Amino acid sequence: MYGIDMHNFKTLISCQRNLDFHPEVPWSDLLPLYCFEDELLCGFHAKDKTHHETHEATVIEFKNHNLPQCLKVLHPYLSFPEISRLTERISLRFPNHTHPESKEWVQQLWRLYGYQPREDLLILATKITALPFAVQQWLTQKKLAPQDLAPLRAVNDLNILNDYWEILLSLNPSKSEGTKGIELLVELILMGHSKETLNTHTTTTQSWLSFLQSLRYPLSTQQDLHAESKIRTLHWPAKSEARWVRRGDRSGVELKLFFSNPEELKINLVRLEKISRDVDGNNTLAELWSKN
Amino acid sequence: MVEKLISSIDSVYIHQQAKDAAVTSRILSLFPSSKIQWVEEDSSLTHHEGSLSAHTYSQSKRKLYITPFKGQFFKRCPGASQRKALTCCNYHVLNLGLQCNMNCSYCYLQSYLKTPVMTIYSNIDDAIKELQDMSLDHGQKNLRVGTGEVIDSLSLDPLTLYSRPLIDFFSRQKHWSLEFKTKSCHVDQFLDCDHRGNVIVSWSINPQEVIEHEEHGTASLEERLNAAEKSVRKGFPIAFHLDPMIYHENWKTNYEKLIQTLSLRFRNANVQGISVGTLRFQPEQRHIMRERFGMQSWVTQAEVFPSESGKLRYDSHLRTTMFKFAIDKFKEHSPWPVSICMETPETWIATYEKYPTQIQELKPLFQPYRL
Ligand code: SF4
Repeated sequence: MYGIDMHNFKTLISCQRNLDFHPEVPWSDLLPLYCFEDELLCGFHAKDKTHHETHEATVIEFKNHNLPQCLKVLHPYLSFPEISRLTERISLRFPNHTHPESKEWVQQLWRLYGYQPREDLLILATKITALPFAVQQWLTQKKLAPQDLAPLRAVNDLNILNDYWEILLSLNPSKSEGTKGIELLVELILMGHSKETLNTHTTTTQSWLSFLQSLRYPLSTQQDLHAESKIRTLHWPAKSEARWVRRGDRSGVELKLFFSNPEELKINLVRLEKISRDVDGNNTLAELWSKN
Repeated sequence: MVEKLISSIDSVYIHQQAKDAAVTSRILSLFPSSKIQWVEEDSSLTHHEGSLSAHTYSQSKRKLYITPFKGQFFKRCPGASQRKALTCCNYHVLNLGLQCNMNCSYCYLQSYLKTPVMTIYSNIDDAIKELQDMSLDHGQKNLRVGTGEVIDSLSLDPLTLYSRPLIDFFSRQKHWSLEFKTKSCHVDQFLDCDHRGNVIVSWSINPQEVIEHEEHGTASLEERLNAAEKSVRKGFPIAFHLDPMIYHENWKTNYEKLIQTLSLRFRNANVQGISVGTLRFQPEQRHIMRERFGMQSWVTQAEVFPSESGKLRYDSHLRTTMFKFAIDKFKEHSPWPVSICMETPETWIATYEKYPTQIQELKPLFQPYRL
């Protein structure tokens, strides 16, 4: 398909590097270099060789194929930040007024990589390229997809997040934790929380997320804490563990019970019966199950 | 009223196949020709790759598309397809269009619509024919039909006048009833129609504070209540849906005030039912809502969690509190039975300590049968 003839060679020195989108996977020195028109498509950091190594300094030029097809062959997978950077480079190098086909190229390129070239995602891509490079790398490393980054669509200027990337990078959360953290941060910032409220000294992702969650869901957090403290005042059976837990839109008591013989079970049940009566007869406790 | 609607629409696209429809003639007579465009079958107008962006969705409310509908007009209520997770009344929907010219922050169409235009189906005659055929087999059953599932029943009615042939059809049905469900105040266009008391005009209502905050472009509470009074004067039964109830700082005061107002103003009216529901939406909808309404909205700010049905809802204890509050207030001030819409069996039990089918006044609404 990509047959080469003698006319398809250029020298590296004659090639431009305007499409250097800083791909995450380095181009191996063992592989030949490729270009489209006079633009290098890979190996952007290849050194120009001296004149007695000219055979290594040649670049194969793609002919008869359009830019997106060539790029897909050379870079089979591109993360969202990578395609965002590449899109930016293409638009700068092949602006619409000189290359009317470039808009179509971008659309085709996105489709080839499985991204939907929706107008709002193209805008999101532009915003992503303005993020600190370390953040873009983190997004790539964790494989965050456009839908994971949907909260960023609501932010006009991603600079408002600049104060928080450091925490994210230092905690290096998993993909799902990071996605959750970004969404909570975006919502809290847009709700008007200040940098002072949002910045916290935390060493674990879990405590960072709990902290953000408590700010984002203050009523439920308060209610859950209140319920948890009430639960502790109840006389649970020996060798049992009771705690207030939230499962989606429902919250309630999770009880772990240990018994090693039927007698112990009976004693436990009597204890539980008593708790049930206490809860029924005590308004404050019954309120655990009805929130205002 | 019509002028306001016309000015809110930037372009009207008319499918060639709709050229002989009555609604087309009316639209052509109402809109300036500069807003009209004729389109062909393979128009790129309705084809959209994937979900709509926030911008395209907002724009869709300003583009009206008149086209014949090729599928089945008549469907069961969405709650019925999730019987395990939700307890829902026995209700059928007749879709005469898609999308709405109003703009509620919580509107579920935001996660549902895939077409970048507001569509009105031109072949109302086919819809009525479908109803006619159904009535031959099921005319003896107590069937409740609504037109406000994916479009507001009445907000565009001054343009289409679809209420009129529907009222006419239902005037010949002994056992069926029709519900126009709206957040508009557009009733004048059908009030002169003869009816047999089986066309219910219903309003989704909320306190004015919620309307101002979340139900953009809808009629004010006062306008809705005035329209309800006009309908009552013409003998139409009415209904109210306190749905979605939205939690906010003064929710108790505001909802109680609303319930008192309704009870006072409609004490002697033929109120067919009151339903209450609390805020709920598909998880993916939160993104477009955030983009379109920011984070100062009571809806985007809401403390909602994934529920068994997959939708995001308030904490179940809070829901029960809200339902109990509304139901107690209705009991205190009015004689009307209250039902809970699109809710889980747990919430029914927690609120009423019963399933709806065990509540005498609500039994008829929840007796299921299949067509
Ligand atoms: S009136 Fe109904 S259909 Fe229209 S925007 Fe509001 S919720 Fe959506």
